[in-house]
Amino acid sequence: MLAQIVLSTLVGPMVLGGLAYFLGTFRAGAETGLFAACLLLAVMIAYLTLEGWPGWPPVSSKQKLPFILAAGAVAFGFWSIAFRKIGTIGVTLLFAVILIVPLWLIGAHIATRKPVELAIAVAALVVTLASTMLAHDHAALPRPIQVAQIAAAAWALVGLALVAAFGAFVGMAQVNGAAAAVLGSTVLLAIVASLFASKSGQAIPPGAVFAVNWLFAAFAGFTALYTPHASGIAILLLSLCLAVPPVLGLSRLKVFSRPGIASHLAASIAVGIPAFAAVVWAATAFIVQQPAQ
Amino acid sequence: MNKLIFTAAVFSLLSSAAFAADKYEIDPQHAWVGFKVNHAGWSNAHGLFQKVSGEIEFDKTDVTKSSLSLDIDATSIATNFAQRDSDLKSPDFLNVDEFPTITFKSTSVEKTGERSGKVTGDLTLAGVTKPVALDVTWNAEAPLPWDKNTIKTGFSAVGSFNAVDLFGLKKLADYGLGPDIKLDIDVEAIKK
Repeated sequence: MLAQIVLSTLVGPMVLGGLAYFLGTFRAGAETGLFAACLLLAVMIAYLTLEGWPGWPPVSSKQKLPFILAAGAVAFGFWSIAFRKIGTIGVTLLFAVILIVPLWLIGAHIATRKPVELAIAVAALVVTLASTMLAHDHAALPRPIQVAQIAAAAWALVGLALVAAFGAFVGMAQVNGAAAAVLGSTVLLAIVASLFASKSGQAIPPGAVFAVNWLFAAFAGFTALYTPHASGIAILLLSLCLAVPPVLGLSRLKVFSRPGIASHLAASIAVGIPAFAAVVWAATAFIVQQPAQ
Repeated sequence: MNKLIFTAAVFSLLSSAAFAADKYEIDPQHAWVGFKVNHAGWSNAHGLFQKVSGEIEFDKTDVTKSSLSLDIDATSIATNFAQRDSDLKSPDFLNVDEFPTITFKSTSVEKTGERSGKVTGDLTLAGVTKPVALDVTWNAEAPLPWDKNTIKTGFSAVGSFNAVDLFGLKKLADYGLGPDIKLDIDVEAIKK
């Protein structure tokens, strides 16, 4: 049983992430949405492996998630077209709408019964929107920080997995963990690839950052709304992971901007600091809430 | 002529009253909806729903005309371990945020013995509705010792269904539970 869990939550999704990276980048180049679409489809396949095929029409929000992921893959597949044509304000508004759609689909019918959880989901969404737009000039960022944008979402999803596990929603813990594994393997491959790539190219296609941040916001919303004892503060801390890469980019610290492996590791680990804090918080809350044995 | 019509109407009312199903309301303080589910072959895990309500129409002369409607508060699940109860409330299992009530509404009643019958109905669990049959025994009916005007009746019922195949609770199988859930129900109901 443990081997099955490791295979479906970690090994399988990592392989899918690797395939997504190769399929999304080997030919199409940095400007297309293929990489973003491949990443979200990889997460969708990992989800279906864990949860099985949902019925149609889906009767629960959990069953809506794979359809939301498929729709996201289509939307972000065409993201670069929108990016070129509607400008920064237009992209901000469009991204805000695309962020709200999953939350609306999974949470509108229980919103009145769970106002606090909804507020946490909305707050995570706002942080995601602000963080993403803060770094929307993706090409101007140093390569280690470009890669760290994906690493930030991966760390945030790792933390989200543990928040779900501590909060008594093991299924979502596995799904969040699998999504983190998909992104994690792409980060490793992107680091390796960027060490050998030409200096002018981008390490990660810009649309992919929008896609993975959207993925985090959707899963954070679902985890906040449906985990029986989710730590809201931990979820908010996790969303701050996404804000770290643009802050590092603005800081212009050389430790995060050199092309070598050390800068990549420093940037990709630094973005995980809020996730570490979130996990400590969630674990503490879990221990405190346990009745005395 | 008018007398004849009046007599016929009174007779008709009396006879229909005599043969109509009696209505009962389930006494939530004396209702136990329990269940058992196999735990990886080691044992049967037991659980109980602590909040139950519903109505029974019981026709003693023709039980096939009886009916049962049961509402179970899914959030009231108790399995003797709080963390497990929380797990069971999550979307992996009962999904209580989206589907806070489990319902059973009978669709047919069949007499199988002097005081027993098979009640088939629609069980709605985690948003999925499927037919499930219960073997029901009518135990007794009597007034309360301290209040002769309050009539109480009591039933026991057992049943079983495959929660993985019928209701899509895939996580049960993933965690070595089930797939069958055995119901063990006892309810007392007050005549209205």
